[in-house]
Amino acid sequence: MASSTTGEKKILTLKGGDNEEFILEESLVLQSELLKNMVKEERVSSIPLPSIKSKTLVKIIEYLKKHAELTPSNKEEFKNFEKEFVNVVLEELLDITVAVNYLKINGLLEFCCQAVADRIKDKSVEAVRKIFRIESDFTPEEESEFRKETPEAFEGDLDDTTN
Amino acid sequence: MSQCNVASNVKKYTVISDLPTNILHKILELIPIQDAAKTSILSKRWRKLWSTQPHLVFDRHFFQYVSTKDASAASIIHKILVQHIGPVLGFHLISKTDTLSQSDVNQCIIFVSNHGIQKLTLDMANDEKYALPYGLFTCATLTHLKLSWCFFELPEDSQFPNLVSLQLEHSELDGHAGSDENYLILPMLETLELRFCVDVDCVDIVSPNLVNLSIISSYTVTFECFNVNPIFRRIKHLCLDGSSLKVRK
Repeated sequence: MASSTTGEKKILTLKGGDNEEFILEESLVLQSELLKNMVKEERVSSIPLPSIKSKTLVKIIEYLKKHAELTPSNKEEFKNFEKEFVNVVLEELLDITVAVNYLKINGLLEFCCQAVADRIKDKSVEAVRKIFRIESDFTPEEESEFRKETPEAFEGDLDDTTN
Repeated sequence: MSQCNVASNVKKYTVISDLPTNILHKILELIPIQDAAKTSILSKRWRKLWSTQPHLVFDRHFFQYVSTKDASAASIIHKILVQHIGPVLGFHLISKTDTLSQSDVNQCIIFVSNHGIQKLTLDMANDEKYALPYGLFTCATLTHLKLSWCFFELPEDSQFPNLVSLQLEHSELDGHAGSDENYLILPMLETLELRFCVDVDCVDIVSPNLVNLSIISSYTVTFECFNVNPIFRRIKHLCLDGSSLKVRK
């Protein structure tokens, strides 16, 4: 059992997709259900995470540290940190969301999903397609039928400059 | 560490379609439903995502939005339900200022109880209390039930076999007509919240696994079941505001 040693803090290495290594206290990664199971079931000191970019991993580790320091007295500060945390370009936000889902960090996942949701709401279909680079694969006939069916879908904020 | 090596290589660009279906459903759930419905026009994948979205939330923003349209809220909800594919795990009607007719509410509840509903909220305004359709009482999938301004007459030997949380507000429980002893059997119930409910004490709530009990009312609530079940052995959180518990001997 890896967790049987007591006393000194245990250190773990996470290896990002581009082989960059991150050394951190094991207690921090326990917020991730995936990593928690890995360190509990097997004696590991290094975990390769080839699907996660180092840049994304840096962000996630930053969150884990802040979250570990969360107390009732710095709640406001943490909220501001969270707000800033997701205030990144869309692609980075999606990278973080995918990684957080893979790592199973539940609280952060909910927050990331809300941040993505906020970028979809109040936008027209055209704007969402443009922002998220979604290509319509409907035939022109299908598309015009939908337009007739739900004309309000094509109303809304056309502004996509926020992303 | 075979688990670690399964993950694919780093991709250059992440697009939203790379997200797994469960995450995209979560995102859709967090968008106001009228905006979520629009995403069905984005592409074939999004059309399928929308029609299988398992959690449907109709809140005051939805009712506000609908009030500017020609169609009624009930007809839009109905349209969304009939076009839905697969289970409806969460269904929430929440607006303190809007009403739906009894028959519209019935239709929704019967539909979702036949589609694997787990979490149901009915928190709408009304002149009269909504009567719950009997079909709900046999719904084995239900785990969370939150009701406001509802009236339910319990069928004989009522039970919600898997209900974990029951929250009732301004609601009324009535026993089975012509029966002296009325039991509402909630074997899995952990959380019971009663806010300004009347006549709840005419029914014996049998809930041996209760952990959180909260009663807010202005009169004494008497539960015989507390004699029958040694609930105070398990209770961890007890909140009594303006009310008191009396154990009948």
